[in-house]
Amino acid sequence: MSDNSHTDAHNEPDYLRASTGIKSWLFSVDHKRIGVMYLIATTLFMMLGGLMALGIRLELFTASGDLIDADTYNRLFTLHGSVMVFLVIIPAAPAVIGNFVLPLMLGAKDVAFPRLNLASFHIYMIGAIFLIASMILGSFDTGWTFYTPYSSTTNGPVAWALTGVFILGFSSILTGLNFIVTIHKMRAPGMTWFRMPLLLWSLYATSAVQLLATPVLAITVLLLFLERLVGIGIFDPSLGGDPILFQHFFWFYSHPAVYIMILPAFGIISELVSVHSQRKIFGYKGIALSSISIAIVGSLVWGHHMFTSGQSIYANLVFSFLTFFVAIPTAIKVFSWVATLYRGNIQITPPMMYVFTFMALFMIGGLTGVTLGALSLDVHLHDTYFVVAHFHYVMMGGGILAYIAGLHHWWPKIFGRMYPQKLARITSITVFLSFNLTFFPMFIVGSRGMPRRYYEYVESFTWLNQLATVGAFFLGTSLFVTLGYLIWGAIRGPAADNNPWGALSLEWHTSSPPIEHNFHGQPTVDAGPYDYPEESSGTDSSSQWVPA
Amino acid sequence: MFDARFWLPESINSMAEGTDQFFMVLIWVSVISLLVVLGPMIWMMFRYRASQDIDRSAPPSHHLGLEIVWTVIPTAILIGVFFWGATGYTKMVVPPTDAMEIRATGQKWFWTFDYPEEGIRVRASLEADEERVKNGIPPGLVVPVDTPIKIVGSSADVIHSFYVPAFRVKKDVLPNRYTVATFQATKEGTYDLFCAEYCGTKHSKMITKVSVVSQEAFAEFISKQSEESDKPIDGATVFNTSGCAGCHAVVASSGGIGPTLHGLWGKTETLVDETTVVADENYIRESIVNPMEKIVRGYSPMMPNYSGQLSEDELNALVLYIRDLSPEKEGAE
Ligand code: HEC
Ligand SMILES: [Cu+2]
Ligand SMILES: [Cu+2]
Repeated sequence: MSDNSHTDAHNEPDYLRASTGIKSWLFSVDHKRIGVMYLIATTLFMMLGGLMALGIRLELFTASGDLIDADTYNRLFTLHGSVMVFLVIIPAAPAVIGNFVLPLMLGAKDVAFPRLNLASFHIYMIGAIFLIASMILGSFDTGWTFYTPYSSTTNGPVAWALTGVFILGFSSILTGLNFIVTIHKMRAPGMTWFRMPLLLWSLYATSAVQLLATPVLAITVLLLFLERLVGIGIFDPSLGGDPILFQHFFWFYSHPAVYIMILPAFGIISELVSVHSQRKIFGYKGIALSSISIAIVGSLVWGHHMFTSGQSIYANLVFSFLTFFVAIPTAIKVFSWVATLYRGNIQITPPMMYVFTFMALFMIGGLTGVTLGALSLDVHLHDTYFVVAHFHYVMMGGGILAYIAGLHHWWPKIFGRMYPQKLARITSITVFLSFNLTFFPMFIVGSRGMPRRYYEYVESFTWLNQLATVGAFFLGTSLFVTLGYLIWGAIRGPAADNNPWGALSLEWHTSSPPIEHNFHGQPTVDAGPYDYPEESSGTDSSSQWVPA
Repeated sequence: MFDARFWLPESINSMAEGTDQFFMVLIWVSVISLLVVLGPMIWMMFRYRASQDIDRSAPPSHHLGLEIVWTVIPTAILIGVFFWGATGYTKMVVPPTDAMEIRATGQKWFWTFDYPEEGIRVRASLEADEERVKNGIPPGLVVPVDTPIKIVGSSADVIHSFYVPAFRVKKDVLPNRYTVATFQATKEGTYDLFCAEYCGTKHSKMITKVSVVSQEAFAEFISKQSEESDKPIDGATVFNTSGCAGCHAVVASSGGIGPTLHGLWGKTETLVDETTVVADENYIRESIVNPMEKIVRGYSPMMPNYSGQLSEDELNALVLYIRDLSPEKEGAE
């Protein structure tokens, strides 16, 4: 191997073995270990949220409520939503992949504030405990959207859930802050802004949104908390408050939160498309700047969740208009990814399979988003299963599957071992098929008029719901198989090369798994992350790293 | 799949005319966009896969012309979509000045419809509808065909949403302001009216109908209802049609959303603040028109406020009905 990180061949242990004992993990300030701990935590929460989804689907197999009672059902969808949004999708890509990869890509030894990074993780776990406690303590049944005055009058441990969300917000803010400072201050010599891998651009945009929008969520839940506790009248009309104000506050954060979930996914896809087709990314600047413009325009469209809420017609017109402007930079990205394949040397690897899956599912999600942005259609479709299908295509088909693609890509780097490739390719196909079987019928049942959050429904919606339930169980099985072979790969899999995909960015030019301080010596950079030689041999002979 | 009826229920609101075609156009635009992106993607996936021996020289890393084209074309399409949606929307939501006004009040978990001109009030819920159909009266919200209707909505508790798929109409109703929905039905029949905003335990049971009837049938409905209101009021009917039955049992039982009203009369009730009160006429009346004032221990303060929702006669009938739910209490006094 001509890998220059190895030329001085130290025998330093990798970060997984650098120290042992549970404490050396729980209190580690190593960004890689923190990333792995987030990986374990988010995976557990994803299983929990997934099991609740299966419970919901099982109940909806028949039109009448027969399996569980209505209140249990309401708790299930509330927790499914809250867990998936606050504990899984928001942290998954930035906190797992971002934490592990960001300093490595920059050529840094760690993030700018390693202790703060550990604190973010601890805060995240505390927030998670509060949120989960609300499940054990009784009926937290407001939906993840906490709409007032329902949420300020229902009994049950809403305050616990609110506390959890409040705390989780800080974890998110601190991670965002850490990443921004790291990207500004810790780039390796020669790593100019436009030589950064595109994942870093999207993580930068994500962090900015986390930093600016999350405080609004914190304030909102704090006010709601006080309203429940001491009856200050902010949102509850019986106390003189305004419930629409709550919706504005809530979506002012929660719409940008959609970009917290999807921007890192865009970054992952940009990396993977380029690496697995051994080809310079098409339109680097277009992709980089579109991340930033999505973050900016995306902060101005929250009102499109409220077209039927009683918001004024003029506000609706403005919000609808702006909404379409988020679609443009998104379209630019999609076109650039496809153009990257042209004259590429495409390796049909598991990560690449997931890239294709992502493209199809995310496009369906995005295009139905255009339909929902059209005012006259949203009136009919709002709060129906059409919306449920739409955001599952975007959040799960887009966000989660890009995250899974990223895991398949960086797995050999994280654990130094490979998972079974063929099995991974096959399950990526079953994930794709069962995903569509689960969520596509929801578009139809929604446009036919089935409202969301329904425990029972009218008979004519039955067959579509049954398709979705069958699909959900296939999807659940496929994802369990995925989890199984990934774990097997991490523990027992064959040892992986340092650079199995032939990538140029810096993280692939240290050992797999990396040593505790990431690199031997300080990397210096003299090329872009995607400057593949024209006749690429698919090996790791070239790199962003120039030998000093 | 490419027929509007596959996706959407029959549309019978003349104000929403054209939205279904718009929806189908967007379905087509989506399908074509998918093909435009996924087609080349799949083609290149095969053509440029690693095992293929093919010319890979000089791949472009950017191409200004192409990038301008794929920015401008989507922008133009999206602006078109915006204007189409916006014009359709303004037509759908602005009620004509001559529209017939009906007030709709949502409440856990039923609707009250007031016809101010005609001076009548009807309640609509699964149970109330059943009762009305039995008496030969059309269920739910009753409106005349081919007449513009303006719904002025509000809520007595949490947010609900007035949603009639066949009209393509949805509007949230709120506890602190009025919201307006409008439609003009073009075809007689009964159509589903759903609550589309999550409102608790029986959200999915807050279902009723819109009955679109001929002008004559509507006149008949109005006169029947006015007669109805001259008849002495039956407490049991008020109880069953006003949603009380959804939360309260009338036989001895425990659990439930609200306490059973069986045996309540004359009982000493313990409240959340540990004070006690004897359930008499005034306590029961207060429980209905000002339920937040005294909360029974072990229950949450979620009973909707009925003041203004029930007429004085209805209140009286209810109080008497609740009194009669309690068996004679010998020697209790
Ligand atoms: C959404 C559910 C709900 C509806 C609908 C509802 N109630 Fe209640 N009701 C409650 C709850 C919960 C309580 C106990 C808490 C309280 O005291 O407010 C209660 C308490 C009462 C009490 C006092 C009971 C006692 O044991 O002291 C009376 C009387 C009563 N309701 C009558 C009615 C009548 C009459 C109606 C219909 C006009 C009605 N309720 C509709 C939920 C409901
Ligand atoms: Cu409702
Ligand atoms: Cu509802």
